[in-house]
Amino acid sequence: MDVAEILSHHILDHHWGYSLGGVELPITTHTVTLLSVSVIMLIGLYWISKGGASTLKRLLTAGAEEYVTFIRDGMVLPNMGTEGKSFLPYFCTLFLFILLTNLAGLIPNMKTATSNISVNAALALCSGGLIVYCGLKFHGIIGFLKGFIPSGTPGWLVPLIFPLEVISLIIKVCVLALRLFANMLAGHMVLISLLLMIFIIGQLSAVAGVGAAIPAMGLEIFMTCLELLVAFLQAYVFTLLTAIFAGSVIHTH
Amino acid sequence: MPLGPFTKQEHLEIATLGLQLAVSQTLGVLAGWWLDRHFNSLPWFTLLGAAAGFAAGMYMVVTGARKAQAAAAENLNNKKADK
Repeated sequence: MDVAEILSHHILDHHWGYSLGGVELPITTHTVTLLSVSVIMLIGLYWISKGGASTLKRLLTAGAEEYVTFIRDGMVLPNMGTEGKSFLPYFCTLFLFILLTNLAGLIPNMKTATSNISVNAALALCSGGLIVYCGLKFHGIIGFLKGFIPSGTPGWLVPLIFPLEVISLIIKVCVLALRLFANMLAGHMVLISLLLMIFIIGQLSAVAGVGAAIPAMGLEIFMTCLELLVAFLQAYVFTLLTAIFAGSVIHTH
Repeated sequence: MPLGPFTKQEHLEIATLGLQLAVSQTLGVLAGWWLDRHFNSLPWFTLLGAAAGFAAGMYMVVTGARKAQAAAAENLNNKKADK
């Protein structure tokens, strides 16, 4: 049994090999997951927004209102102030998109697109763009650039501090992508490794394999529950940190 | 909900500092290594990148810690004022 091959098959993206007139179509397991999540979000949220008299519709509408209030009062307003209100739709979309993509990975035959660094890099780029846009919108180009220099910095230190502050912002955005990537990838690697443990021990002796199945499955259930928590936590952390960084650009000291 | 002298947001920012140090150093080394391969000058840019990455990482940790310290002092003062 080639453990490395099974691990890579479980974790890496797979090209479906469709082409149109000789042009390879970018249809992979991750893009299909991303598109599914996007379509579900678009149709689902549109359906909820239409409202209705049925109990389910009213329940979903109340849930959606609660969700928006949670993002507004828990993340946007405390960190960005009232200036952040206009960016509320971005944060609501970001949290729900990351959450649903993370959760999609727990459905059998679906893949965790957030365990692909390219997907997370795109999300982080969007957040980075928002942070820069906030700075430019509220302070203008000169004010935004001035914000990189902490107050009280001696003039001779400015050429050193300015690039360091710019690099800090870039690294903060990179860290957003890497944290989500590492957490989601590691969780799924642990899940498949626990399952593989049964077969690895089973190769030594069938009885030992059956014996290993019981603790392995117990750990598997525990890890799946933990992954469920991580899915929520990482979506929360990504959104909250974006709000914190955007807030620090808006309210420079 | 305040957790100790820090708020939830401050805790999250402090928890990010370690990762920022690691990522800045890694990115510095990778950028230096890429430049070295481009200019065929191994190991000079890699060393420079490592040093620059380390400097940037330490700068972020020190400024982050100072910011956290100031926030903790402010939170404690606010608590005292509330009492």
